[in-house]
Amino acid sequence: MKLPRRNFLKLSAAAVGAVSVGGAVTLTSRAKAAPAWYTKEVTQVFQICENCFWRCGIKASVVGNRVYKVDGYKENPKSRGMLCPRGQAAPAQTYDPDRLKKPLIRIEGSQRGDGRYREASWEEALDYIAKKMLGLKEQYGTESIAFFGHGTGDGWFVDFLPAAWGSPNAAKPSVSLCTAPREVAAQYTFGRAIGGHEPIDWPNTKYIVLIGHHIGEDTHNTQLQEFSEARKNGARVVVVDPRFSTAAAKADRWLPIKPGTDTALLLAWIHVLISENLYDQAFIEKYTVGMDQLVAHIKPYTPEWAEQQTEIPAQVIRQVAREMAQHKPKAILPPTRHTVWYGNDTQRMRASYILNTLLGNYGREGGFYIAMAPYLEKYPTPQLPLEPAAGGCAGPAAVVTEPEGFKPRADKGKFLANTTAIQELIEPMVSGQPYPIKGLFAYGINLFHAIPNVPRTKEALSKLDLYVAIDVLPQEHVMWADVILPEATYLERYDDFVTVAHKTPFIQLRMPAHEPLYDSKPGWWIAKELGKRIGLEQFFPWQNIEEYLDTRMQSVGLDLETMKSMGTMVQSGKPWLTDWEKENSLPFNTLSGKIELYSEALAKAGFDPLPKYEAPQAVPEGFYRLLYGRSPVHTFARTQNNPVLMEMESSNSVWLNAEEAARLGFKPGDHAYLINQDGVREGPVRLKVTQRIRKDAVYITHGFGHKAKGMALADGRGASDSYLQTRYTLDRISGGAGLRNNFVKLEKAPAPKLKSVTQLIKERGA
Amino acid sequence: MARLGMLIDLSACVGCAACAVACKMENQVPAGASRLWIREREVGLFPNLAVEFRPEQCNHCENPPCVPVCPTGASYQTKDGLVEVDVAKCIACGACAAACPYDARFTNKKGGYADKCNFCAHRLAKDQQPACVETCPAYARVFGDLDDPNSEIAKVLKAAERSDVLRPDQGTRPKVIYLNAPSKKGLTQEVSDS
Amino acid sequence: MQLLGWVTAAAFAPPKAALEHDLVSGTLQAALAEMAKARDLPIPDLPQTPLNELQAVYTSLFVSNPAGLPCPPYVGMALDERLFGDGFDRLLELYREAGLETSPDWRDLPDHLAAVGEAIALLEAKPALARTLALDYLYPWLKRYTPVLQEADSTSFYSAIALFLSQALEVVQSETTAPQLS
Repeated sequence: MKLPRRNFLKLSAAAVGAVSVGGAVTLTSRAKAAPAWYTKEVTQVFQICENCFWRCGIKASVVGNRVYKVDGYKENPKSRGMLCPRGQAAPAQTYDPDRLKKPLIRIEGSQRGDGRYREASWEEALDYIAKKMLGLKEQYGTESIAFFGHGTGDGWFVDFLPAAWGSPNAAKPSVSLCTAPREVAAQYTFGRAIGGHEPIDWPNTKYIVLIGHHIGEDTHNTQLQEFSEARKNGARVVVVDPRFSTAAAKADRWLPIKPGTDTALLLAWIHVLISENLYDQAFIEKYTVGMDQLVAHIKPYTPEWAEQQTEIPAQVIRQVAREMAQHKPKAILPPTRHTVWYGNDTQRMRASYILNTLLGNYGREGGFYIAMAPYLEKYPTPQLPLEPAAGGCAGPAAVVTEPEGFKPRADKGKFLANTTAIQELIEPMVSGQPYPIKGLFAYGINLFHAIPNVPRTKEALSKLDLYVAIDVLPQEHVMWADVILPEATYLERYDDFVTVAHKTPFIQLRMPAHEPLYDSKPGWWIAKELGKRIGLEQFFPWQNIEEYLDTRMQSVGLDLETMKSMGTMVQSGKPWLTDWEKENSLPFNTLSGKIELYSEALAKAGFDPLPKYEAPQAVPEGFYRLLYGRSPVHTFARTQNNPVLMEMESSNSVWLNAEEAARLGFKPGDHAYLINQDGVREGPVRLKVTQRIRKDAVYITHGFGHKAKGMALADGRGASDSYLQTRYTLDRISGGAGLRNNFVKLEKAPAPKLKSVTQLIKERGA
Repeated sequence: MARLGMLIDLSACVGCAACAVACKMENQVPAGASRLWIREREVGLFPNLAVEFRPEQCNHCENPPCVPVCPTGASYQTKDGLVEVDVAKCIACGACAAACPYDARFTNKKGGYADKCNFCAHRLAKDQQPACVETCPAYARVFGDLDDPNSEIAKVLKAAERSDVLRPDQGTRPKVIYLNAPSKKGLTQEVSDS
Repeated sequence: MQLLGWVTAAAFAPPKAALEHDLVSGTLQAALAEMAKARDLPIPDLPQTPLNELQAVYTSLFVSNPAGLPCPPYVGMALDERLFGDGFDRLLELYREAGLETSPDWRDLPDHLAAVGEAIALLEAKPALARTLALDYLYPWLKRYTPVLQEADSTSFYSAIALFLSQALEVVQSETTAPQLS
């Protein structure tokens, strides 16, 4: 009896592989206890960390098909030779046994969410998607497919592919669920982006005021380094936060503000600077417009008035304003990244920028430097039908109207700015208004842990004709897709260059440390292969990624091979106003060409040209305002299956003021359910009884509360803030979704019966 | 001859655990065990608060209680002042772990030996810093020769307003030295653990 | 041993046309019968499962399952309780010794059951190595995961084959150890 052979293996003549020989370490008595990998033949390749979106340049230490360690390198302006915990632990994701391994097609006839799949070849999976896409184009038009994504590879799926395909409905959560208000406000004020790498001249500043800014909990590597540097250089720090955050623990002064009243505080500070004549008059005269209107506008916003709103004593407000003024222009209020708080957030950010401007710190040492993007040409392709406009941390390139023959983006008209609002693209999937969205690509974004109002998202998914997920882990929303495409992890793939606008603009390279494991493929390959099948072959003219990268690199006089030995190419920038003035120019791309304290553009659009104060929605009786933030060892909902990081922190806990805990009968270590204003329940989650938070709010870190049994470590631990955010308040200027108007009450809960993370790691292998 | 030690500036440390993860990855420390860990404690009452983020690891004591109790001579001090374990000699009897007042040792079950921080001796042999020092994004750690007056560690220690060691009552003379404890009373104690 | 290897490779590779052919033509059933006869075992009765259902079940058992993957098909999971452990490294060393390498078309790990099965089959000329592979690498997986398959495999196709293969290997084991005992 003979069965036909399967050809998984082949007999090779070369039976001897590269056997490792002792590496470079001489075995002195010191090196005796060296970890096994360290003594093998270790090669190093330049990579870019993907465990958060700061994207540090790293070197991966590789032995065979395994990366054991990653480190920063000094020449890279992001990592500068150091790494945060998430970056250090990131390689564990590549070797996670729960990874997606093969393309999967949902079993015909099963429901989305049932999770019934069959393994498919790439050809079959891509053919399936292409056929459905072409059918949707025929029936509803190209705009009926939306493209959502987050991560370094999102350029292929959320910028390039939809622009080539002809859908304006491309969005990233990093815009309207994160930075939109600060970016839109910066455009209206400075005519420039803040950008993904906040252009703060930390090392030279002498006075730092952080408002809801969570340095230390949000471990953006360079920022953490430079914050430490600033403090070592003697900078004083003031932290405004309802919670005694890590940053507050490092501050000289903590102002435990009533949540939602930040604009009142900012206006009062502006009031003091103006009424006491403490602002930088020369700077205002030279670089701004609208001071007269501001002076008139600010009169009623006294510190005494602000005390009533913020619960910060007027005397303290005055004193801090005077201290800022003493240190100007080396005094700064750095904008935090996540600014979608209460729905009027663009105006809050405008107030912050106006205050910064009064300190004369824009384009000056110890303040904001002027970030420039590095020079690098695109790969030449035929012109895309649409302009890529999904944006990123810095918001999109503004597309005011789509070209003829293309419908406008489905969220147009809901808000003023030209940014995309991902949460507003869900509604058309449900209602078909203003036109139907029937297809969705989700690349790397976690639909249920990023976008508020999860029940609506689930309803939307159930109504789609095509839902494709491209990911590395079987996240809950991934296992709803019609087709699941397993992407190679960051260590296993090339991506496009990461270009960073910076004091010294730079370009970084990611190259694979080893072949992709399983049947996973890099994003560039997936996009190109799909493009071929949907009639877009002409837009993907490159042979392969090496040729693509090499061609781009030629435009700056280098080539890929050279870049492989450098990792990062640094260019020079124009960080200071003086650099621009030498060339007889100014960096402000506003209508007036100056910093606009008073915004004519906002006035014309029917919005307040100067920020006014709006009181936040009141906390309902018996509830607490739900605040949320970051854990230093986790990134959003992406890292809760990483064994190393889960050993560091396996769950979130809910922070409750100690007096409130006593009143409710909670003891430290007790567990609670969180129940929001719409009856949605999360938990059980452990209680952190603490002095470190006001009585009117509770706090959890974002990213826990996974409901994905296919992710053994993540499943069922802690509570999800996203699931509790059934409501949001749309910022009518930026399109941002204000998330802090959700309220929860606490109910006693039993401790969850969960195996320890260590036990799970040992059982499942990781 | 050097006297190798480490400074940890608690005013800089944010408790992010980059050091702990770097250690775990570098040294392939098994699940459930740690050579380096972080304690976080709050002190005071709202709104007058302080938080101490404190990384802990083997103190490489000058007078290490773990060395004399070792029956096989596996635990020893190097000439440079590192407290080391010769894994070939170690029988994993646990005497050293019991003697350590800092709970810095664990038994590496797979290898069958006592395991702990060794200041990444394998990296030192290649003139690299310990993994925790190299990665620290808050600039909280300094490593070097305490006896060399020109070393950074000696200079920083000399300039520091306040320095403390863990459990000075034990007479172990730790060479992991904490600077700038956030509480005026010095390092927080186990009893106030929350 | 060669037949055992082919059966393992045929049964545990992703179910496609080749498997359907082996099933429809009766080749797989005949191979099992031949193995059973040689070892004095009852012939397992394979269920008549349509290919599309086998594909769904295979995926949920071995590839991806939103409720948690019950049977990761990698022998290292039984040897090391993890992927890429020492047992995995030893297996690669053994492949090298045997002059085997994975083909570029094999888009999975080299310690996948199907690959190990094929390796056993290909080592006809090196019976000692084939035996080592079968007893020290394949068998531990079967021992650990056959009970799981008996719970989780709604078709009984995979559980029946896994049970039969472990019984067959237990016979091989007893043949190997018996002379040493006597």
